[in-house]
Amino acid sequence: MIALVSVVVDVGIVALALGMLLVLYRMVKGPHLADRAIAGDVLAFLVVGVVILLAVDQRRSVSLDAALLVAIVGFAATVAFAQYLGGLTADVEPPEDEAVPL
Amino acid sequence: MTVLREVTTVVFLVSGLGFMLVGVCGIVRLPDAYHRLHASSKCSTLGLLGLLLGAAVHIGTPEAVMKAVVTLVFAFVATPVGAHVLAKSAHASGMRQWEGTLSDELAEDQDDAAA
Repeated sequence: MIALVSVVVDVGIVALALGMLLVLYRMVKGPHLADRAIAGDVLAFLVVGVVILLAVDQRRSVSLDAALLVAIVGFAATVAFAQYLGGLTADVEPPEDEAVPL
Repeated sequence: MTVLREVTTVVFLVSGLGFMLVGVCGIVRLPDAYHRLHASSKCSTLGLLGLLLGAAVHIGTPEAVMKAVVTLVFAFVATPVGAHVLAKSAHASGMRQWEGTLSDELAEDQDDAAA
């Protein structure tokens, strides 16, 4: 039964890596700045998931500290990005050469 | 007892991973950023719940349980706050809704307040 947990951990790391690729696709594609911020938020959560799976694999609780740290940094990044986004008001027109609508 | 613990760990881990992947599918597939916030905040919170409970059951020491609980409390407080701040600032920056969305009650309230 020990093997079952390690199989789940291996499959889970592969699945989370796949999820990171999909989230990176959304981060590249956009189309709005908020989409990229959301993608970064979810990316942080996927990294937290990988760290937790590492802790399960090693059977040590030290890695859970790193999980909490990544979660805090991800939240701070989200709030900082939201502050930046809120500063961009709707009546300021973006430059003509940027095709991406705000 | 060991078998029970392993099975519980596997059930928690699989449910957490499932929630995370459903959230990622929502990020890729849903039509606009407000919908994507819905997918990301709920699914990553519940996914983290499953993964952390699985880790706490598998490791089983008091400090592991303590760290899992602290991380969970932080995630359950911080994720809705982050999603709300992001949605509100996206709305303030004039992000358009998907054309299938039926109402924009924040804009209506702001119009009422301005009138």
